[in-house]
Amino acid sequence: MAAQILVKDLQKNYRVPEREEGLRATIRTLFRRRYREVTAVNDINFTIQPGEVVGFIGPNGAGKTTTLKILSGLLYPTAGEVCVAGFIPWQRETEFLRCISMVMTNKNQLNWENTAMDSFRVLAEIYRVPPRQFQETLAELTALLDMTELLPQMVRNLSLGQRMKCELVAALLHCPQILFLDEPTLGLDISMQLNLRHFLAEYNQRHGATVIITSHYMADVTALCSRVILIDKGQLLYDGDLNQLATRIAPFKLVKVTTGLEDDMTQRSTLLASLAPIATVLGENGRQLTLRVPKEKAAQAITCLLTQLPVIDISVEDPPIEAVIDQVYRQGISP
Amino acid sequence: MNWRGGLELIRRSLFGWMAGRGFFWSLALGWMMPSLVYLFVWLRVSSENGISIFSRDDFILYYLCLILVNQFTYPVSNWTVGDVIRSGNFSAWLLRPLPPIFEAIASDIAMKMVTMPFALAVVLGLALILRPTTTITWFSFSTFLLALLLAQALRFLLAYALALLALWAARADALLMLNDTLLFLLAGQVAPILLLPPALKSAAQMLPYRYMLGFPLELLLGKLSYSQIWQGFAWQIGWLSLVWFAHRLIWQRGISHYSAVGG
Amino acid sequence: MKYYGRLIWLFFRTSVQEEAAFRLNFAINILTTVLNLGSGILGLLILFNQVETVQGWTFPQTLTLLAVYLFVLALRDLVIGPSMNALGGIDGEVWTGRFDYTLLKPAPLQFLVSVRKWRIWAIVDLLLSLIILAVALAQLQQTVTWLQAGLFVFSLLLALLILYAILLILASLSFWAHGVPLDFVFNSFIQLGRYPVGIYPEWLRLLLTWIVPVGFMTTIPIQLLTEDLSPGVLLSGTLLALFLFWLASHFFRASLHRYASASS
Repeated sequence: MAAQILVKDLQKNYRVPEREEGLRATIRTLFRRRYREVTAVNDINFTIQPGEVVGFIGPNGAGKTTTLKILSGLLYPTAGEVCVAGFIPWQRETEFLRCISMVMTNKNQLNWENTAMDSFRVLAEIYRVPPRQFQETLAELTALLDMTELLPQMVRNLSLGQRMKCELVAALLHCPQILFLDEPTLGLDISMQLNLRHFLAEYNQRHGATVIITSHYMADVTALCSRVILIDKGQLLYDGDLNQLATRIAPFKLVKVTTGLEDDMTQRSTLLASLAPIATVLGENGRQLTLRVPKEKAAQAITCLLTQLPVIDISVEDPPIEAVIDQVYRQGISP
Repeated sequence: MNWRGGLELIRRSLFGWMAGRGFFWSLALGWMMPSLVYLFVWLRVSSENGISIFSRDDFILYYLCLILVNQFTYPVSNWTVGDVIRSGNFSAWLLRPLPPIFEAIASDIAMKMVTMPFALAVVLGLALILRPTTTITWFSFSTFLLALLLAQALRFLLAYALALLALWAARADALLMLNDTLLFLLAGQVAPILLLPPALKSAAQMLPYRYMLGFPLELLLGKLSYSQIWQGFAWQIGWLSLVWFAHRLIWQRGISHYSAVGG
Repeated sequence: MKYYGRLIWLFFRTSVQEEAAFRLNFAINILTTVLNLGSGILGLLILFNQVETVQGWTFPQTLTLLAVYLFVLALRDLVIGPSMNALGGIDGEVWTGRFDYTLLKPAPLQFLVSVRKWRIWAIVDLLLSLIILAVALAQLQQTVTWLQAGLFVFSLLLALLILYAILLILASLSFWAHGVPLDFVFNSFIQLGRYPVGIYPEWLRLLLTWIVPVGFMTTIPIQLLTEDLSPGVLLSGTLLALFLFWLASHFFRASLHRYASASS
C-alpha cells in the first residue's frame, strides 16, 4: 500500500526574541531586539500507512506540535520533503485541505456566540459537503458521541467536554481521510476521556481514517495507538510499538507481595539477600514488599517468594508507562 | 501605609505595560487624535486675529497642552478593573493585603509612565513645527499644577467608581458611553470651554468634566480672573468630594453583592 | 459562483444571529448611533457658533461632509470593517492564535477573511447619515444633476475600495507587528476626514489625499456634488483605488507566507 504520509529529513528552525530580566534590559529592548535561533524539528523521517492510529509523544516543547502543523500545511519547513495523501501540505491546495482535519487544544473553531448546529452548517458549506451527506454524517457522529441535545445550544454555554465533542463533530463533518489531534483530552474528566477514546477507535474502525494524536496522557496513547513516535528536542528517538519501547527501556516487572502474620522478619531478610542479584527491593512497608525484577527472571523470583514466604497476596505488574516515558524524557534512549 | 508593597506593584505593572509598549503607544495616538483634529480646525479658523479671547498662539498652546493633560489624566480603570471583575479574576485582588484601589492606581501610573514619553515626543515635534509663543507665568503654572493633580484624582476616581459598577451591574456600557460623550463635548476638547455657546458653557461649568481636563488648561493660559479661579477650584474640590463619596458607596454596595453572589 | 453567494449568505445570517442573541445589544446600538451622530453635529454647531466659515466651507457644506463621512464609515462597518477586525484587530484571530483554523479551510482566504463578519446595525447608520445628507443638501439649496449623483455614487464606491485595501493591508500587518493594533491607529486617523482636507497644512493635506487617502474618501465626493471637479481627479482616484487593491492583495499573500514560516 502506498504510504499516506511521508516525511523525509524534515527540519524547522525559528528565531525567537529574548530578553533578560531587570529594568535596564527592558529599556534596552525598547531600541534593539535580540534573537536566538531555535531548532524545533531536526532531521525527522517516518512514513504512515492509511488507517493507522499513531501517537506523537515527547516532552513539552519537543517539536510535536510543530511537526503536526507542518503536516497540515500550516507551517513551511526549513528543509526536507513531506508528502501527505499525495499533496505537498504547505501548498494548501483545496483538494488537500478537504481531506484533512485538525483539532487543537484550547482553541475553538466553533462560533462562540452561535449554536453548534449553525457552525456545522457553515462548515459544511465551506467544505462543499452535499446536503444528504451532511445529514448522514451528522446523524452518525451525534449518535456515536451521544450529543444530539447539544446541537441547538449556544457554544458559550457548553462545558469543556461538551465543547470538545462539538469540535470533533465539526472536524469530521467532511469525512477527512486524515485527522490530526493536538492534545484532544486535555482538561477533560475521566468519563469524557474514555468516551473520546472509544469514539476515536470506533471512527478509525469504521472509516479507515488515519489518525495522528499528540497527548500527554499515556492512557490515550496506550488505548488508541498501536504505534508511537517519540520526539524529543526536535529529534525522532523512537518509532514503533509502545510496549516494545517499554520493554526496551524498563524490561522489568514490579512484584508486590503481602505476607501473612506468620512472617518471620529474619527469614525474609535472608531470602531477600539471596535474591539480591536479580531482585531489587523498591519498598518495604510492614508486611508489604515491592520488588523490581527483570522480566526474564520474574518467574523464578516469584516462585522463590511464594515457596519461601507466607504470602497472602501477590500482584505482578508492568512498570507504569508514565515512569518509563518520564525516564526517556529525562535520560533519553540509549541506542 | 504599605509603601514597599505599592512600589512593587508599580514595578510589576510597569513590566507588563512596557512589554506592550507598541500597543499602548497606538492607544495613546488614538486618544490624542481628536485634539489634533481640533487643533488644526481652530488654527485654520482663527487665522491671524484669533477668536474672542483666544489668540492663534493661545490655540496652539491650548491644544498641545491638552494632549499632555489628557494623556496624564486618561483613565484606564474600565479595562484594568472593570474587565478583571467581569472575567472573575477580581477575587485574587481581594485576597491581597493591599486594598484593590492600589492595584488600580499602580496600573494607572505604570500606563502613564509608558505612554507619556510618546505623547511628549509628539507634542515637542508639533511645537517645533508650529512655534507658539508662550504666555505662561509662574503663577499660572503653579495653579495649573495644582488643578492638574486634582483633575487626575477626579478623573481617576470617577472612572474607578464606574468600573466598580461591574460588581453588581452586569453591563454599564450605556453609562460609560454617555460619560465619554459628555467628556468629549464639555471638557474642552471640541472647543475651549470659554468659547462654547452660553447654554453649554454654563452646563460645562457645573458638570465635573471641565474639572478633569479644561480647567487646568484655562489656568495655564491665564484666561481666568481671580474670582473665576476661586470658583473653579471650589467646584473642582466639590466634585472630587462628591465622587469620592459615590465611589465609597458603590464599593460598599458592590462588595456586599459580589461576596453574596460568590464572585 | 453560487458557492461564494451561498457562503456570503451564511456568513451574513450567522452574524445576524450573533447580534440578535442579546436584546440589550439593540438598546446599546441605538445609544451608540445617537451619541455618535449627536456629538458630531453638536461639535459642528459649537464650531460654527464662533465662525461663519471654515476654509470657505459654510455650516451646511461642512454638515454635508460630516454626513458623507458617517456614510462611508457606516459602509465600512457593514462588512469589511468587522471582518478585518475579526482577523487583525484586538482579540482577533491573529492575536488569539485561532487563525490556524482559518488557514485550514479549503476556500480562498482573501474571500473568507473579507466577508466573514457582518454588522447589520450599520444599515441604520447608513440610513441616518443619508437623511442628514439630504437635509444638508436641501439647506444648501443645491440642485444635483443625475450625472453628479452618478459620479457621487461612483466616488463612494472608490472610497469603499480604498478603505478595503487599507484595512486589508493593516490586517496583514498584524502578522508582522505583533500586538500593535494598527487598525485602531488607522481609525484614529480617519477622524481627520471629518473636516475639509483643506484646513490642514499643505504637507498633511497631501498626505491625507494620496497616501492615507482619508481626504479622498470624504472631501472629494462632496466636491463632486457641490462644485465642478476636474475629471482628472476622479481618474487618478480610480487608478489609486485599483493600485491599492492590487497592493493589498499581494501584501496579504506575502503576510500569509510569513505567518506560515515564522509562527510556532
